[in-house]
Amino acid sequence: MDSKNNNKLISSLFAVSAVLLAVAFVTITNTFAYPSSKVNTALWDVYFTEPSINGGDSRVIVSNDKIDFNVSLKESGDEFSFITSINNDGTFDAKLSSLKLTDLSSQVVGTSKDTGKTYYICDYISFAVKYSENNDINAVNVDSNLTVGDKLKKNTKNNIIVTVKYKDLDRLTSDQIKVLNENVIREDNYLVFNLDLNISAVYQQM
Amino acid sequence: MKNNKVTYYILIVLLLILIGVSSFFLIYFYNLRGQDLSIEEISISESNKMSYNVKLKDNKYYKSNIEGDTFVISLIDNINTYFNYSVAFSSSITGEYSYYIVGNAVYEYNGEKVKNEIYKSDISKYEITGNVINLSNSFDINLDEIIGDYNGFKNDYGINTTGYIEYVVYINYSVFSEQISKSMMNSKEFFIKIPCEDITHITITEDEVVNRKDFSELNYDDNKLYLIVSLEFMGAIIIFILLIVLIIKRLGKRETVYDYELRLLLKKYDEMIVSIKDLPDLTNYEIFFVDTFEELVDAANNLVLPINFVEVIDKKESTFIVLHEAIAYVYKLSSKSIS
Repeated sequence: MDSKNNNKLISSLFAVSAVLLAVAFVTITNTFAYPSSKVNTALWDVYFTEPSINGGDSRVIVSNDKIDFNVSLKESGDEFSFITSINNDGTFDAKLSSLKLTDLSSQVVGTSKDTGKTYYICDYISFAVKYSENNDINAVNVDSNLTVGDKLKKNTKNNIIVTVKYKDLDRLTSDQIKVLNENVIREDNYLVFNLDLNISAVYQQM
Repeated sequence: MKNNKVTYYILIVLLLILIGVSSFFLIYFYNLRGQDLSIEEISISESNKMSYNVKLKDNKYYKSNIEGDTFVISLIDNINTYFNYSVAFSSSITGEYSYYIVGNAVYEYNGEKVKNEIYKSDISKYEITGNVINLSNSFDINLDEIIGDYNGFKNDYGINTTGYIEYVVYINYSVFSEQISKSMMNSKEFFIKIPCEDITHITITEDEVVNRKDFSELNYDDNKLYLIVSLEFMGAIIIFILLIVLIIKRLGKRETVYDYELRLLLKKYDEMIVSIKDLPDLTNYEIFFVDTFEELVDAANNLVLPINFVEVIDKKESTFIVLHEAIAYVYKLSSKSIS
């Protein structure tokens, strides 16, 4: 076989092998789904912790993302509070999507015979749920109210203080005081509010 | 000649490297067959929680189910029931989920069972795009009122009447995962059951956490492609080996002095030399042998005739002839005479 033919054969075989390799590599890069990367674990775990209670005649029950509590406030100026935290131990960032507090503005205390005005529990009792500490990661500030949209990133918690207060008499009008005396049951000579309250804070993935 | 040899050696090394690389990929893709690497998976973590608080008549405080589940039924004012259902997916899904609540009063008397629907909520539907379904809600069971109806029924049908109140939360979800190219559906039921007995023992669905996985469908097409790619690499390896063999053969060919001399003559006197197939019949010719090729060239030039060339023995002997009328001038080039 002469050298010219030999060289032609060598070149041809090189070209064929190059084409085969090129087709193989194009097939590899364009066709196959690469083996899936390690599957992440998924966990949703957002919950209220057991509270630390400050005084008052009360009962507090925590159920995951809901708190039910009964409190008795005997007289004006009485205050009941407890501190808890909402923790995110899951693998997803969360945001507050729904916040429901017992609506004290729909519970009637009584109607004034003098003015005809109707007063509700919210006129005598304040009920607030606020952050008790700053949290820069979640951008929440102490003393600010819990608000829909508030962040709770994974592996963080927001500390919360719940306060229920029997308003001071000097903050009530005489008409309100009169209605209070006429409608609220006395217990041992106290105008006691026995309240069933709840807080529901539902979070969703951010 | 030396440069050609170096080039060939470099080519051999390159081909050996290519053989190594191709062999690696051949083995890699051949072993991938049947391993179902095209299967994708998604991990799912489902948890459900349920609890209730009982408010007794003339009592300020709730009593949680954690403290006990036995009550004097006539003292129960209200039961606030809470449920939470959450599902976390390891990759994003889209779809919807929904729930509704049905309350039934079930009475049994004389072997017969009567089921009355006492409550039905609207269906609440939600859309989901993300990784998490989190459903939390609570509802009140005004037991005082319901038990009143039961007592009325009992008065009508006799003292042997038994019954219970049951509220069931029905939850469904239907989502699609791009990760596994598949729809996933699930449904759950949570219940709270209150037997209509003087001392009632309330039962609820137990809390549960379930971790599971779902997978994409098997993709057998990839097996065929793995085989094709393996064959392509195998073809490339065979060609590389062939190339190495050819190159080695070429390198192995050593040019003898005879080859060298012949090549030079053919190159230098190319215009004068005519290659013929067979040695002509010189029987009727007077043959004159010349000692050197140059003398034959002189004769050819003087006579203005071509030099006929035939390799009578391959790689060993060649004959150059100038034929003029009845005279033949002959020059022989042989490996014996040169060496």
